Amino acid sequence: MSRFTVAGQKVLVALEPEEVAILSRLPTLLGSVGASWNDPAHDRLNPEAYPGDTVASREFSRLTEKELVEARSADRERFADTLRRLRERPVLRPGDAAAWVRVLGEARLVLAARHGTPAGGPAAADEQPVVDDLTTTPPDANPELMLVDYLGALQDDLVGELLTGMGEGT
Amino acid sequence: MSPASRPSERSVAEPRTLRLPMWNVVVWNDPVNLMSYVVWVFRTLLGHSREEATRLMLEIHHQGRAVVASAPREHAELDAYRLHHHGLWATLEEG
Repeated sequence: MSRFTVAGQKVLVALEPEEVAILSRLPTLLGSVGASWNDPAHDRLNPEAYPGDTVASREFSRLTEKELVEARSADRERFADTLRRLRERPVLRPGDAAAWVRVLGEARLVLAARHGTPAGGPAAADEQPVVDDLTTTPPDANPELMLVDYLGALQDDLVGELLTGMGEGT
Repeated sequence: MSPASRPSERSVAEPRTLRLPMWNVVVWNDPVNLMSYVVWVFRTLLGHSREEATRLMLEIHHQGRAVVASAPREHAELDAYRLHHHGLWATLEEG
């Protein structure tokens, strides 16, 4: 059963208390990105815009990094705020739903990067065949990869509903 | 009201078209982002139709990369920034 149901411009949410507890940890997880100098999650979330051109890539980062940090922080705050209010108001407005989709996706990327999952990108395209989706990889009972799978299922549910709301089923 | 121009002056004053170099926004495959999510991003962020968004997602999945937009550099950089905000691995290359 889907935990999200589109209703006009809004999305109704039906999550168990245990699920809310798990999701409430995500803002802290995402806020920790970049806290250590060698955090692979930071590199994954901030790819080089101009591969092979360090100067142009640095300039792009200089121009966009502050705004990107603020946009991600705003997503986390919106996610946390709506999550706190779910018991009395289990509804996401369009802006809330977009923030939820991004936070779920960002959390998956962070967990996978820290677990050592290949990042993809230009280097991977040069060196190896296209990597299959992580969801096809057995989680090896690793709790973090199981969380990646769970968050992926939630994100897939929500995206499916949002696409349905756009007039197209999945 | 300005005086009417003579024919010879009009021909001199014809506007010139300035063509800015185009830059490609490339999205690369990664093993984490879901196919449905990538389609949603292309639909909502870049305004692609369902068919085009799905075609691009599959091209990325099978070929490793796809050009998802082309625009003058400033606009292309804005697209790349927005794709990074959505967790997609986007890069830029001169078209």
